[in-house]
Amino acid sequence: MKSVKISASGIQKVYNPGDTNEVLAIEDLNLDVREGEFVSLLGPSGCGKSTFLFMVGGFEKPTAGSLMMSGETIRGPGADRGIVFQEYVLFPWQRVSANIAYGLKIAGVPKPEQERRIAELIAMIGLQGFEEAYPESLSGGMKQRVAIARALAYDPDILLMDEPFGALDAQTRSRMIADLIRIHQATHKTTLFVTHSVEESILLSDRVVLFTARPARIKEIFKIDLPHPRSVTDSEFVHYEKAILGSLDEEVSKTIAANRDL
Amino acid sequence: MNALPSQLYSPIMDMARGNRWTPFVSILCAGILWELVILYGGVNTLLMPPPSAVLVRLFEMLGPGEGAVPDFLMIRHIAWTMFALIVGFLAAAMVSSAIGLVMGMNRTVYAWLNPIISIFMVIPNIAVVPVLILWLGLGMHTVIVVVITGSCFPIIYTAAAGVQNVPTRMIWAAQTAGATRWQILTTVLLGATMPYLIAGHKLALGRAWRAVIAGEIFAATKYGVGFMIYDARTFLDTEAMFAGLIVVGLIGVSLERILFGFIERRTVEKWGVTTSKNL
Ligand SMILES: Nc1ncnc2c1ncn2[C@@H]1O[C@H](COP(=O)(O)OP(=O)(O)O)[C@@H](O)[C@H]1O
Ligand SMILES: [Mg+2]
Repeated sequence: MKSVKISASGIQKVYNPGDTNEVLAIEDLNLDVREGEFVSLLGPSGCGKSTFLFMVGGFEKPTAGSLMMSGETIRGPGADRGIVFQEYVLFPWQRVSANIAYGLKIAGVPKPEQERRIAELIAMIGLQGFEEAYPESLSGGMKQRVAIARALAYDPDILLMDEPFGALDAQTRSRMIADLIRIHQATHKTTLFVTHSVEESILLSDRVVLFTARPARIKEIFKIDLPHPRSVTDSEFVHYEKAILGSLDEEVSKTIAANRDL
Repeated sequence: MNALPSQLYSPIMDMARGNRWTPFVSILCAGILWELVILYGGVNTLLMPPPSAVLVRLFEMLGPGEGAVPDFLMIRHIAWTMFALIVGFLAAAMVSSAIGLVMGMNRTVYAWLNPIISIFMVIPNIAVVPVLILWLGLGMHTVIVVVITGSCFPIIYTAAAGVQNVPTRMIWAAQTAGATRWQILTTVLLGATMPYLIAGHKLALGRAWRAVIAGEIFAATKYGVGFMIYDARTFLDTEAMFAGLIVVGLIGVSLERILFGFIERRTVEKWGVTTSKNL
């Protein structure tokens, strides 16, 4: 069994504590993610998935509990993690190659080594011929590929993805899912993948972690015991889908009810 | 029914609706109208010369001199004006960009500087000229300072706004890649703020141009287009005054359109992040 990479215990997150707009986003969250594991975080919108991801990223601090990575408390962002956002957030003034090489440049990696790594990643994401393009000229799917390459370039231990395919059309999304599976099998990066798509989470993950409605706790963890490539029409797939959807629907109803009270 | 041959009709209609030739034709028409009003309107040409005479005077001043008039008089005036403009604008650009970036990055600095700058900003630049003359005397150095005070605020404000509008996640992406604070400034904030910086500098150059002309009227002693216009008044040389005004207008438009058009095509338009077009 692989070692524990991310360990969250008793995590609580309150935004604006003591203020009138105080928000209890996460109540009591306990989760261990093992090295190389692909874990999806699933839950109703606004339940605290991104909040948890950003705490692992080191951008937000838990207000209680302990959040560790490789046995050490997370104190801030760092190059041992790579992050991918739904809105791509590429650097528009840099060409594709420079965007990908960003972390390498920061780390002071020599130019030839950078070139080699860019070529490798461009091949991995299938964007040969677009090295010199500016992000603006790329489609959403291509931009997200560049963002993934940028996050992988400096070889972080952990890949954090916040609804990375949320803004893509269905066809692009299914291609991206297939590519992400391939990339994960090639790199074995520990991956936290936030999504609100049940299908996406089953297609990709070793485990699907279902969050409750806000304040978030873990409601249920589904271990997906299916070999890749997975097929959405497979009876076992459908079985997982039903179970997860049923559990998720309860939380979505709670969220809707809570919002009606407001 | 076609009063014009159809192959001519369409380009003229296009031009009338507005295409790239329209500005030239529009200005030409205004000039012709001006000429006609003076020819047939009984206007005192000593006070309001016809454009034909102004253009003749302009070309005289651009060429070799005669008697007491030095060679290339207008070129000398323009050269002095441009020198004061460039020195003042570059100084303002460097200092103001730095102030603006720091204001954008640090909320405390912003909170303390913003009120002071807000007050300075509503004072017409021309109103500080008497004070500057009192402090610094007459001369090119004073004109340069007038250019600085006239152009620094748009840069400060847009640079600060630019930094404040950098998406948090863009900074996160850099931090996750291991960037230090300084690296974030040089590799992310500058790039992300560039559309704002360019818009601010464009605005500021327009202000700087107005400031240098106004400053020269009061503070220059020998050369400068603004000085020339004011000086010509003493000799009732209205043709030279209008020639000066035309030069001011043409150079002003060129600076904004051509120089910044060039910079924008090379940066923000290529990146697809242009904002200055809307300003
Ligand atoms: N910076 C913040 N300040 C205050 N409240 C926040 C902030 N970020 C998120 N929240 C609130 O915390 C809750 C969880 O948000 P988030 O983690 O973004 O949800 P999810 O990603 O699951 O949709 C939401 O109610 C949201 O409004
Ligand atoms: Mg979210």
